[in-house]
Amino acid sequence: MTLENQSALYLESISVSFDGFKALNSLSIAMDSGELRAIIGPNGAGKSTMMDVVTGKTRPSSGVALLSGIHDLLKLDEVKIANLGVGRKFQKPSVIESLTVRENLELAFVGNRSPLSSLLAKLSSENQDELENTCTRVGLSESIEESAGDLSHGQKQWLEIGMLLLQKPTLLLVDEPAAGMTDTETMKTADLLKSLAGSHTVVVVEHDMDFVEALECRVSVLHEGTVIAEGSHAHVSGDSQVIEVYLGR
Amino acid sequence: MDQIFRKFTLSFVTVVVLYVFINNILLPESFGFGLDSYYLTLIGKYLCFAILALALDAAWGYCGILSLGHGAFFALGGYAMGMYLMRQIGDRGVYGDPLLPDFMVFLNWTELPWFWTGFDQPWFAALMIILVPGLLAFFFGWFAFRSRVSGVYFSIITQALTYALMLAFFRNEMGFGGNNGLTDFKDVLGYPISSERTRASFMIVSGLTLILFLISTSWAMTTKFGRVLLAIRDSEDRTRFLGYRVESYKLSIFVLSATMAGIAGALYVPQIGIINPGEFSPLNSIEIVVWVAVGGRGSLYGAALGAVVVNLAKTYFTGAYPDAWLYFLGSLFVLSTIFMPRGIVGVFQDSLHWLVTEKSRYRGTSSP
Repeated sequence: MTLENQSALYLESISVSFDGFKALNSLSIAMDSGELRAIIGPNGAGKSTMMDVVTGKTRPSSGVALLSGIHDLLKLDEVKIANLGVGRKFQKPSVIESLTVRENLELAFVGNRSPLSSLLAKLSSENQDELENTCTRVGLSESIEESAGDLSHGQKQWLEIGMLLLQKPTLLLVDEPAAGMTDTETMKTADLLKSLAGSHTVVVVEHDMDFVEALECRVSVLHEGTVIAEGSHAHVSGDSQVIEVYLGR
Repeated sequence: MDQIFRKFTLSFVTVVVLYVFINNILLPESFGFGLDSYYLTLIGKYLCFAILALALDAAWGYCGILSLGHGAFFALGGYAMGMYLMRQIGDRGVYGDPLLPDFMVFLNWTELPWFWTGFDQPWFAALMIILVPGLLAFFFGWFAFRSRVSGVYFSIITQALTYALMLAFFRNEMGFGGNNGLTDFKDVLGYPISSERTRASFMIVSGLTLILFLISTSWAMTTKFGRVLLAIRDSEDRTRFLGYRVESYKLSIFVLSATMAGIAGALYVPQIGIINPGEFSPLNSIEIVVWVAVGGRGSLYGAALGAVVVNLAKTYFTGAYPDAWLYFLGSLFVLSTIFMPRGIVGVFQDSLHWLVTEKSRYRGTSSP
């Protein structure tokens, strides 16, 4: 019971099935506050479905999902969960292409989200400074007035991470941040995510094993909707079941 | 560059309004500079269509909500105005009944249906012009957006909505004049409806309404509200996971848009002199989409311009080649989608951009 209350994110026996196919099969996982955790697994292992459950997009048929030990995620919708401080980065970079980098970041900035208040919303100069600092942190300070649609693939990924940061989340879910990045960009992204741990709980879903190794964090291996191994990168990559799943029978 | 377009449209409408105000209202008729009834009505009609196009573009161009039933809101606003004008006829109808409009006497009705009460009051009619389309859009949108009906599914049900309303309004028992609709209006606010001065006044009010809506809507689109709408259009999921209640934003713009369409309809009916169920026809709603596509989706000024350009063509074609009009309209839509995806505004901006870059090799910003 204490694990339930202590964890930043606590999932127990979560099951999701789509037309008889079990996308998640009694998945249980717990994350400490401020932890950086990598989740790996082959295609169809249930990584994205797990994110969908945590962010309220998919409702499981059974199980428990708690945020910070108090919020029952299964009773809330996407918007309420997002406003509780759960930020999600999609696999495909999804920024608002017709807006500038600055406008994208402003949109993400934490604040009142109702239509009426949005008509008169203005960022204070303090908030503007914070926005610009975040923009520098994700390496986009020179592109701040550019249209987001003109950014490179890697820059879009960073902009999305920057947007997540301004949302002031406690829990960050990051889906394949290194996809389509060059090696240098990949390593920079790993450093950025490592620097976020501590002040945020960060969950990274990834395919790229080099990237996971660079994160130097605890790794959970998913297979057929359940966790088959958990531990350091060295530990899980030596696990015989993990090798079998990854290399094929 | 958008600024040039904005200034051009606003000054053009202002000039037309001022011209008519001076020559048709201020100066006596004997001066002879006033426009005659035919042109006053024609311009007034175009202005109402421009408001309608602007209304659709606010929802479609900025938030990606493609309504194929906006003609319904326009027609409802028109019917609310028509009911007021019918009540103004009083005992001057063919049957001379002091209370009942002619079509009710003809149907042997003895009492005014409950939903016709209050329409003899201009303030009540004005309220209904806003409330009826607005409430319909609210309930319809509330169910549709909450259930996350979007894209082509939303378009189809809006088309079904306007079709269902058309069938309902065709029925005599509905109490809206059946297929003849409402017509034979006599006067409005005490002024004879077909006099040149009344026509000029309606044209002026339509022009001022267009200017007001253009300025206020494009202002709203520069605020964070407008940027959230764009975000929903570009990436609905991203916006939702940023914590924005997408359905509230969609509902807000859909209701605002329907209300503006209703006001356009209310201004249209007294100028045309009739409202009938044909206004609910699905084809009308599709035409509005063509206006916006031709003018430039996502530019309010472009949408207004598109409505005027396409209707100028319609006036000419339906006169010169009445059978060819629908083919022309169809090809216009197909060709503009293929060759000018951003409409007239896009072509204008691109050529201006080209001129500027060629002349001074100035590296302009790529986005408007």
